Amino acid sequence: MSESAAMPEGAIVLDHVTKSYGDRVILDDVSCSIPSGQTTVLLGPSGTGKSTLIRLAVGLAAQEKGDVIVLGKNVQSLERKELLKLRQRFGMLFQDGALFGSISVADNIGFPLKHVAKKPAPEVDARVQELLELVGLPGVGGRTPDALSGGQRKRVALARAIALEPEIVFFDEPTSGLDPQTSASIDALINEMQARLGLSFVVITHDVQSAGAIAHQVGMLFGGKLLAYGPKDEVFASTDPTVRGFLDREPNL
Amino acid sequence: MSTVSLLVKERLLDPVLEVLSTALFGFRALVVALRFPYPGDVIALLSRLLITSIPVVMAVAFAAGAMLTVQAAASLSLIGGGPFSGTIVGLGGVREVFPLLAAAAVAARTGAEFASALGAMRVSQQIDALEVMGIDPFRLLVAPRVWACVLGTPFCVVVSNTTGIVGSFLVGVLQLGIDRGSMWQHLMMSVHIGDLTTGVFKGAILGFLIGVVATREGFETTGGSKGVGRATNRAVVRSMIAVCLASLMLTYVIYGKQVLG
Repeated sequence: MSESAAMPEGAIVLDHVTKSYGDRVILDDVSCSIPSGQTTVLLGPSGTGKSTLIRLAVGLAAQEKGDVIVLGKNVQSLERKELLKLRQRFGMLFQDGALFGSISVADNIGFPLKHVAKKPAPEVDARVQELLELVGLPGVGGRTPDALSGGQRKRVALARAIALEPEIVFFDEPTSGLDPQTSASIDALINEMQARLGLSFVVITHDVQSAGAIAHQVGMLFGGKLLAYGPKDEVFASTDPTVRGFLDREPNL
Repeated sequence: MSTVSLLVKERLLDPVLEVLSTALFGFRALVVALRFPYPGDVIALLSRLLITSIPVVMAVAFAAGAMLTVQAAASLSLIGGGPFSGTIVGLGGVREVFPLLAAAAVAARTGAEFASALGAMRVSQQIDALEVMGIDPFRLLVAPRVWACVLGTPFCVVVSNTTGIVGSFLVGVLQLGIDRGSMWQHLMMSVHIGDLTTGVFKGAILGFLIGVVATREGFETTGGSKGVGRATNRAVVRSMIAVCLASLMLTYVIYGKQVLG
C-alpha cells in the first residue's frame, strides 16, 4: 500500500476500520487518508465493502473496530444532533439518484436549501436555476424525476448534492446502469465540477474506465481489504496480482 | 440450533423483540411528535386521511349498525323487546364496535398507504438521502404521519358513530317495522355524552398506535420492492391487532368498574 506521510491532511481518515454483517467481514482492518480537494476513487468488484465504507463515513452504519474521522470529527462518537450537523457539510449522489418522486426536479434540488439552509423562496429558485445550468439541464425544473433519463437523474442528484456547497461529495456508483456515452458525460461532469468547485470527491465504482477518467487517488478494495491506495498512476501500475487481475479485465484502460 | 430452541426463538423471542422495538419506535415518535414539526405536512396528510378513510368508515359503520340491529331485534323479538335493539346498538355500537371499525378502516386505508410510501422511500434510498442532507427523517416523515392519525382517527370515530346509528335506525324503522319514536328513544337513551367523548379519546389512542405501527413498518423496510409489499401487509395486520388489543384494554379500563363492579 503506497499510503505515505506525504499525503495531504485527510478530509476522511480511516484508521484500522473493521465492519461485519453477521459472520461476514465486509471491511477488514482498512486504513487510509482521503485527501481534501481531490477526487478519490475506491475501486473494486461488487460486494467488497465499497458502499459500506461510504455508509460508515456518513454515519449511516457503524464499524466494530477502528475510527472513521471525517472533517476532523470522529463520526461514531458524535451525538445524533452533531452528526446531522456534520452531514450538512456532505453531499451524496446515490446509486439511483434517490430523488423524491412526488416532487418536481426543481423542488428536489431546492430541498436542502429550503429544509436545511432555510433560504427564502426567491433565493432557492435562483440557486436551483444556477445549479440546473451547472449540470447542463436548464429548463427541466418543472418535470418530475420519473420523466428524466437515467443520466439526467444522476445530473439532478449531483445538483442536489452540491446545492449546499458541501466540503465533501460522495458518489455511489455514478455510472452504473448508464450506456458508455452517458457514463463518459457523467465522468466529464464530475471532472468539471471538481475543477470548478475544488471540493473533495469520493467516488465508489467498479468501473475501471471511469476511475481512470476521474481519479486523482485510487483505492483498490478486494475481499474487504484495501489492497492498494495512492495516486492513480501508481495504483494502475501496481504489480499486485489481484489488483492487476481486476484492472486488466478493462481493455480500454 | 435445535428445533426446539429455533421454535422458541421464532415463536416467542422474535415477536417479543418486535413488540419492544415497536414500543421504542413509538416512544421516539411521541417525543419527536410533541414538538409538532412540519404542521403544513400534518394538515396535508390529515386531509388525505379524511378524504380516503371516511367513505370506507361510513360504508362499514352503516353496515355494522344495520347488522347489529337485525341480530339484536331477532333475539329480542322472541321476548317482545324489538325496540330494545336500539339500546344494544347504542351501548355496544357506540362504545365498542363503531370506534373499532373506524380505526380498522384507518389502518387498512391510511396505515397501508403510509407503510408503502415510507417503504418505497426506504428501498430507493430517499430516507438515506434525507439523513445525509442532515434532515431528521423521523421529524419529516414519521411525526407528521403519526399526528395525522392521532387527529384523524377521532374524527373518523365520530363519523362512524353517526353513520352506525343512522344505519341502525333506518333498518330498525324501515325494514324491521320498529316504531320510529321508540327506536330513536332507545338509541339515544343508551348513548351518553361521556360515551361520545370516550370514543374520541379512544380514537386518538388507536390513531397513535396505527401511526406508529404503519410508519415503523415502512421506515424499517428491507428487501426491495417485495419488501415494500411485505411491509404494507404487516402494517395492516399488526395495526389491526394493536387496535383490537388496545381497544380491549381501554374497555376494561373505562367500563370495567361499571360492568364488573
